Amino acid sequence: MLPVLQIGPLVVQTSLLLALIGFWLGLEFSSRAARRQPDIPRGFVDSAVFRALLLGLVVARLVYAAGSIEAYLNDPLALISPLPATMNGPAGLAAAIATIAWLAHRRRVPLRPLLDALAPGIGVLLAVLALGDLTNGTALGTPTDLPWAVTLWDVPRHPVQLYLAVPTLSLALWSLQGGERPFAGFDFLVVTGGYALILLISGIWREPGVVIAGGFRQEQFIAWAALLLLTLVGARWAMQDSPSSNVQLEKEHT
Amino acid sequence: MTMTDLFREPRTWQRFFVGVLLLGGAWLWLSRVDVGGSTAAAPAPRVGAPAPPFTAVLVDGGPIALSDQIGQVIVLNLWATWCPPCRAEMPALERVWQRHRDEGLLVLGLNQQESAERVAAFRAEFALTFPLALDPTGEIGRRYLLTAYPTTYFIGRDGTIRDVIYGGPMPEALIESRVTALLAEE
Repeated sequence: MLPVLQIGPLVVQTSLLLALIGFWLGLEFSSRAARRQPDIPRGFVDSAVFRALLLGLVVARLVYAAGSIEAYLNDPLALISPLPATMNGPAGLAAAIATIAWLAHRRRVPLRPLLDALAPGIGVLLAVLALGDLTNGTALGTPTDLPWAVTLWDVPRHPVQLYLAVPTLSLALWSLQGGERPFAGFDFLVVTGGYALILLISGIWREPGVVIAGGFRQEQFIAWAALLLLTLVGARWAMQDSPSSNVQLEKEHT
Repeated sequence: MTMTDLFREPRTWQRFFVGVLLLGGAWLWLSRVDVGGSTAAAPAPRVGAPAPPFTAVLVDGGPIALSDQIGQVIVLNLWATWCPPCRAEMPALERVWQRHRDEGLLVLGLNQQESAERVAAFRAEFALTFPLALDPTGEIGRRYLLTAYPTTYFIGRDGTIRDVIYGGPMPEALIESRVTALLAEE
């Protein structure tokens, strides 16, 4: 466990450093994947992701500050503090997604090839964030005496962060390979659906976080719901691209 | 039929849906947490666990035991006089302490491995009024797995660590927002 790197007076949060590396690697992967997509303008992914990151960070900080408005009015310079503890993550993520969606809409970039291009980057980032949990000693596994246990907070535990990171990274690398795919959007479904599936399965070895009614783990429940939604999206996209559906459409047109 | 052809079939995805619904639902059921059972975590310097207990000596003399302070919101700051970010955030800690000390807030600065004279001189230089305690051997710092100066623990009224900030200086708004949120809890 190594939550911080202290170099003289400078304290660098390891998870933040990993997130930056993950972002850079993810962007590189997505740029490569985008080059395979003829419908995506050159440089669009890099530019859109950078803008999304910037806007996401600003919104994450502002939304956090809005929750403690008096404190920030007394100390407005805190808005530019480099400490990530004062960010509203979900708000920042929503702003980043909205930015990419708006830019894609404006440039008429088709959704499914864009999602495929983003898939390897999303996979790398999710894997690196899971590694960040390992260095931080957060999102802990349950105690175990298995030989591959890692000792966190003086207790040997399931390395659930690795259970999540390794397969997710493998899916990201697979999606970078290219090759024949059943339909556009498939890589995105595999990477995000795969992540949700691993989160659902590995949840049983994770220390309970938020527990909802009936003793269900909130994180697992969300993963399960996301997986169901992604399979429905997969069915719809397969149906839209199936030859029989196209024949039917042609008939309707004639 | 190749795998690619198989995934082109909408029926394959519909089967996936049913599989996820049933098998995933069963797995969720198996993973349920026994909410009636004991979930008390062992004391550890991490979010969600009870803060490890300790007794330290105050700069003015006399002991202070963390366990005696449970019931208040505690901001435990592990620091040293030679550390620039520690020095930089002290005035902000003092202001937050002054604002909320009557509402059940304790700010406790736990100095690491320095003499009482040095800490007393530092307190006079910064006009600090919140309690400063000493950890002359670094034993408490080791128990808290101290890896960076400063490290600040925000501890709720129940003695559970609610947040840890590694490094600094913490902006006053950060301290204020964390403290007001914890004070607002019953």
